[in-house]
Amino acid sequence: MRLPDRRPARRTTRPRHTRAVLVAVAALALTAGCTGGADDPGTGATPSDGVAADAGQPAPVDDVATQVVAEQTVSTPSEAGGEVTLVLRDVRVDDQVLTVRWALTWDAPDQADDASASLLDLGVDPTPLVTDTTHLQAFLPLCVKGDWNGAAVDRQECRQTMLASPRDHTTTRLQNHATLEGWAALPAPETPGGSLDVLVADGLPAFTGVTARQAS
Amino acid sequence: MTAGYARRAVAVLAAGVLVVGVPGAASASVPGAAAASDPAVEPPWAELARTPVTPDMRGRATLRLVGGPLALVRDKSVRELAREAPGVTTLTSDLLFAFDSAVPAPGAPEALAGVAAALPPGAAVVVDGHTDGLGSDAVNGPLSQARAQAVADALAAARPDLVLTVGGAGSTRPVAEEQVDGQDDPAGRALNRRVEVRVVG
Repeated sequence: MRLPDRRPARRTTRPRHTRAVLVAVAALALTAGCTGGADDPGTGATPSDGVAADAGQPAPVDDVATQVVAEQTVSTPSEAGGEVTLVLRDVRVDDQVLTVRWALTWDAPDQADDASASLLDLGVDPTPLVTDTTHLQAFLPLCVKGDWNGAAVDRQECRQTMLASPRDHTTTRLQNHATLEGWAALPAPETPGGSLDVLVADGLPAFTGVTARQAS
Repeated sequence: MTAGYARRAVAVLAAGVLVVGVPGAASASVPGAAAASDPAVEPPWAELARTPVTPDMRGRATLRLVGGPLALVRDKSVRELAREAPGVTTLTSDLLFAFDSAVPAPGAPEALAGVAAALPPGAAVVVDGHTDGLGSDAVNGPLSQARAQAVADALAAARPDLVLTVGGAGSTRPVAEEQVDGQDDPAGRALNRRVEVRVVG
């Protein structure tokens, strides 16, 4: 996986010092077949809800809740100060749906530990974009209404109804040193195995060269 | 994904979302259950802790992305390399070029050869590059021109009979608003980053 030290978009109004740092690429990364996946009976913790015994099969287990596929730390893309660390947890294909999971931590040493800021304050507006650079297609979150390729009103509807979390960057707040877990569901590439660039939010660095794991 | 296609498939959001992960939730004999007999002293989570998660609850709390009641249409969330309109093909710059670059992506020449193949023999073709509204004209103008030239070069390589004219408009001719209700709209900006191939004669 390549991690660029460039910004994914030009921002002339809010310059910041980009110091994207590759921290880690987990061994169990996103390559197909590397992990047992959430459906693997031998993976993860024992189900705690008792459903497994009733159904005769293990309950699903969140096997990527703490996974770190790649991580980048950059200056907070706003005047809020400090830095943000973006973790890519998982890029996974289930049937025709590609799920991106990520985590964002805000660290501002010069502010109180109980200080908080909205994502808007931090200059982060998550709308994950996955680009298949092999097959030259780009994917945005599935939405209940609207159309990402349509007019402004259609794009706004899509933005408001997209299958992703968080969806509202004005009301979603993050406390200093706390971590926000996010996800988005996008269309899966029609041709599997392509090299993917994952951009969680415009203005944050992209993760490039990612291969989605095929969970089904 | 057509609607019919969507209906045929069922995918469940990763990790069986919304599975309530309360330690010991499956059993009524969990710590704290004894206090349940006295609602006045039990902690606020006690009722949840002694509530078993049933398959029915799991089913009702699982969002099925396709095949369910939601009208999800794949095409509305997929951006293709080329968008066709009568007489003009609009190419998505984000898929052809790296950020701030006019060097074609590895798969671009083959894709552009496909675009070239659809053009009429000996056609006069105008290739115009466009950027989004970020950055200065001093950057956007030359970048749009260089990207248009790269596309034109690929078209000419595949179809030497074409008569090509190359231009770069920078951010002066947007096709999408880049702000909606005062909010930044990256999806609109992405639509503006494009190269148009127009048959003029």
